[in-house]
Amino acid sequence: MMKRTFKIALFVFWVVAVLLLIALTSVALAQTGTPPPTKQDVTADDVNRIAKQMYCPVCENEPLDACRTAACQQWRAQIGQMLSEGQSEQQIKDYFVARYGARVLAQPPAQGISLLLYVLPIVGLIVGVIFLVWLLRRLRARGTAAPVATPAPPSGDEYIDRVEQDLKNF
Amino acid sequence: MIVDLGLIALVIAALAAIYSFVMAILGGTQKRPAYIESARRAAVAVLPLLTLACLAIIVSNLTDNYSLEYTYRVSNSTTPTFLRITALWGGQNGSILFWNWLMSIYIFCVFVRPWKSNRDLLPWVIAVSIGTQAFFILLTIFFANPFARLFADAAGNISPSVFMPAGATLFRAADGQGLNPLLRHPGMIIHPPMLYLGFVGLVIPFAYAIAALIAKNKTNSWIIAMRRPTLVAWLFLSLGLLLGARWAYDVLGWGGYWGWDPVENSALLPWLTATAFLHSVIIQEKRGMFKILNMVLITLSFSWMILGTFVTRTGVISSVHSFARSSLGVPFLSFWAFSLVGAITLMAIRSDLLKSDNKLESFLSREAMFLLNSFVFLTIWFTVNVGTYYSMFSELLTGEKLTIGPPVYNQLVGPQVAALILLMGIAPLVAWHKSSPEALGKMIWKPAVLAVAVMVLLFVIGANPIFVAIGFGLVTFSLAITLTEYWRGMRARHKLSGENYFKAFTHLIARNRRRYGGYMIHLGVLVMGIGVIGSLNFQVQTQRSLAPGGQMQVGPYTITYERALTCDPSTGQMSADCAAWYIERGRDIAIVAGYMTIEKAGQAPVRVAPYREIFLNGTGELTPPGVLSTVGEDLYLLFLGEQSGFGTIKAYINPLIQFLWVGGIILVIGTLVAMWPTPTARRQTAALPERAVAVK
Amino acid sequence: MSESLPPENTPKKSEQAPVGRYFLAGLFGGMGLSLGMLIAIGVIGLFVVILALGLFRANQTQPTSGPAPDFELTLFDGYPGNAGQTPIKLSDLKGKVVVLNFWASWCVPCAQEAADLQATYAKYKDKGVVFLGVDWTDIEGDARNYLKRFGITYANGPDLGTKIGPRYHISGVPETYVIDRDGNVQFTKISPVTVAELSGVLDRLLQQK
Repeated sequence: MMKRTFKIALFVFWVVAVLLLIALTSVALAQTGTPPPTKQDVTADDVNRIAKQMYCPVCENEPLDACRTAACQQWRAQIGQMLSEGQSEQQIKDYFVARYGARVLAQPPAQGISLLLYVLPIVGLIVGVIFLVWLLRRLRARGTAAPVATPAPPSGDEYIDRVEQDLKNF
Repeated sequence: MIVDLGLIALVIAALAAIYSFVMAILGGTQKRPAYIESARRAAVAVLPLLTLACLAIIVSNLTDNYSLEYTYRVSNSTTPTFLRITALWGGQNGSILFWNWLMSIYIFCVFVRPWKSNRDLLPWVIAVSIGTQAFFILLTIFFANPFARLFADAAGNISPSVFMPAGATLFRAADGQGLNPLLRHPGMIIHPPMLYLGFVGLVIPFAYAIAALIAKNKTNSWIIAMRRPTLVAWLFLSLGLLLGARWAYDVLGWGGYWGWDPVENSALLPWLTATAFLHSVIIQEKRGMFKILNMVLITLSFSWMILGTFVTRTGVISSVHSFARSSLGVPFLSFWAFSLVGAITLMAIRSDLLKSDNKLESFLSREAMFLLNSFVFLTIWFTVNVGTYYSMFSELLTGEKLTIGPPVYNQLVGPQVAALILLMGIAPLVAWHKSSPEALGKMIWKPAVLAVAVMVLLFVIGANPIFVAIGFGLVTFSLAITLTEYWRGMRARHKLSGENYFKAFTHLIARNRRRYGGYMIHLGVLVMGIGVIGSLNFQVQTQRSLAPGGQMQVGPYTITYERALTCDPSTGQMSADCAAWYIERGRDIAIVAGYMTIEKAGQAPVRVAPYREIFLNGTGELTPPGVLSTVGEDLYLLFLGEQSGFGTIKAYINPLIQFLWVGGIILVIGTLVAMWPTPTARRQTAALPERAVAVK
Repeated sequence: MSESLPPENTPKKSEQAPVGRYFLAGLFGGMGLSLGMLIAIGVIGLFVVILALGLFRANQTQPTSGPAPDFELTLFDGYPGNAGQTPIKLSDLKGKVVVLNFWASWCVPCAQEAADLQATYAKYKDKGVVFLGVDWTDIEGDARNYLKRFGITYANGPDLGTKIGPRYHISGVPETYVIDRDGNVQFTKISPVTVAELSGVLDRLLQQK
């Protein structure tokens, strides 16, 4: 039978874990693309919103909206052109990927080998958590009395100890 | 001549390091104090020798000696004196010499005075640290020698070489190539030394840990002895990261401060494990637990420091940071693999030493919280590793290169950092050995209620998405608890000794610098957390092209574009206004500046001039911003250029960003507090057992 | 709040393990030493291999001899040149001498050699030499403008997905490779070429049977 302390702690842990999982999913869901601009004029902001999610195909690790080379300006113009034709964000990204490879995306699509990128940390986390819980259950001392908040070991300073004593009386 | 002296000094330094390494091992295995003493002195001698070597390079720069290849590459006749000195770390070869010099400073400080205690560890601490030093010096001499000179062969081809090739003559170039314009900014000048100091310092705790294993030392005296050097290294590593972020924000000009670039991550990875180590080692000191974990953490910190510099210098993962391709790869990789496997083998051989002195008594205990802490840090470390090396991995497997950008990291690392923030609040309240949920609940219910109130409030006023509210709530929770810790201590002292609150505060910190300095570091991190959540999630960005006199509206600000100013020295024609821009600038830079005025309701207009700094050698450009900073946010303006009379302005509003920098300052102060020696501590030497305390 | 304690829960297997140590409170606690070490060495070994391979790959340079890496090029409409039906496979061109040129419309030095390449093409196109232009990380509209500007008529196509460039480990543009009838690289230039240079190489290779 599990001890009560452990049960509570485990419960708290699962609550936190669920909260974090909700956070994660909401983030993942939140990154569905923005609707394309309905008006004919495409602003620089519309272009940047998409360019921000891509990288310069030539210069390594430079976001496309920040890159200042002539080539990057042409690519931003290309995005603007496609937007004014009414293409959606996803279509533009697909076009760039087909032309320049998957590396132009700041966030690789969650398919194929890129899936592993998302799966690995989460799997690692889950495995680690299971391992941790198993480890902790194993390491608990046997024959424990009712849990009590025991004082900290001497910290080498009498003032601090007295302060700690007083804190407990607080 | 000076160059020859420098090279000789470098070679002698290598010999001294090798000698010290050999003598330390002989002295340690054969228990010969004379050998060990000789090893110690040789180790200490490396610093003056490397200083000579560095000075040789600096003097070469200062005297326009363009027959030295390095001077040719990083300096020229127009380079200001100050930059000629800092050019020592402006190129690959010089920077690795500089790295060596910084490492030798640590070694000097640790070994300059004969050790009064921990003498069983001494030969092994010397061996590991000077062995690492020897590796790096040999690497410099054979693979990245800054003392190579330019030689012209019979056909007139010029090539660099350390020794004169047959039939060639020394060649002195008319002028140098000059320092990369990127490296002329103050932020970029200070960033490498800080970062390097952080990296090389990690050799010291690693050396102590290995030494404790080899020497079969069962006490925790090595932990106490290495705590301060480790904190120093950690301080510099944190400073390096913070300054790098600040420089990216101030000078590079893309509106942000951290890009999850592979080289940035290489500096973050050892920081993560080193921070976990600093925490977990407290448990080992006090209760003799987590010995294996701590060995793993410090080994990972050291190895990933080697890996980090390997990745940066060899361009294995290309990034905007990397030095050019070089032949350093194989030796680095070998040393990295060797140190990692060696440390693990040693842990296996000495596994009986690593048995815990105590058992874990409860999931709700300080020890368990620290274990959880290490776990979360390792999770973040693992995630950042996966992201950093993933593109290489995928390219090998599928031939397709991938870019892992900020969105991926933010999604994965964000929740993990949230867990860390929660732990920051709870762990200090949980008692050692075992804590009752009731006792814990009593201490956290008020901050928890406050946190939930903050979360609800933020959510209601529209802080979308929900995890932003959660983030702020967690930060509130831990901030409240940490501040309460100070308050409780102050109040207790006030009651005890009748001091006024101010005195109580200062004495509280002075009496236990480790704890209250540590809390201050946590405060710094939490404040930084506010800045990060704000600037990451609520950044507003817009770009417009305006005619002179045109206006754009960003949030509460009205920006009026005045005019552009183009200054291009290569065309020979520069207007009088340009003079002001070239007081400190070299003539190999073109400037395109945009003058604009910022107005906010009820405030005086502010004039700013963001600009583009274009390197005429074609290697790139910078866009330093014009920034209006207030407590709540930064208005950050970039000028992207002028076309047909229209100036293009990009404006960002970065909310809460000041908290990031202020938090960083608090973190640094906290670290200084934590590592400042107290008078009583100075009298304590490492060998003293834990003091018995008279408790009433 | 007393409960019956859980039974002694040390698994019997671990006590009987040959290297029967286990560590309390640590990362590999509970595992036998040998297993933990094996996993650690295995993971590190894997990582070393990946890094070594990555390093090897990063240090690879442009081919200057030996078999030219094969690829498939989808041509721009209107630029069939004398290469045959699109998509062109390099291996299908065995028996002919191939001039392979990487370029981009945004590349300034490429413009220097554009006229030279077209002139050389005009000279050799009926002599069994195929010219292939690979447009690297470019935009079709700008690329077509570039081709029109220099009156280029030989076969050109985009490097879709940036797959061909990495096969040749190109470090930028322009780069030119001349491949002989057996499919081996015989000439590599990592800067703009001239008519004279190219003609010299082609004459030499055409003489071989």
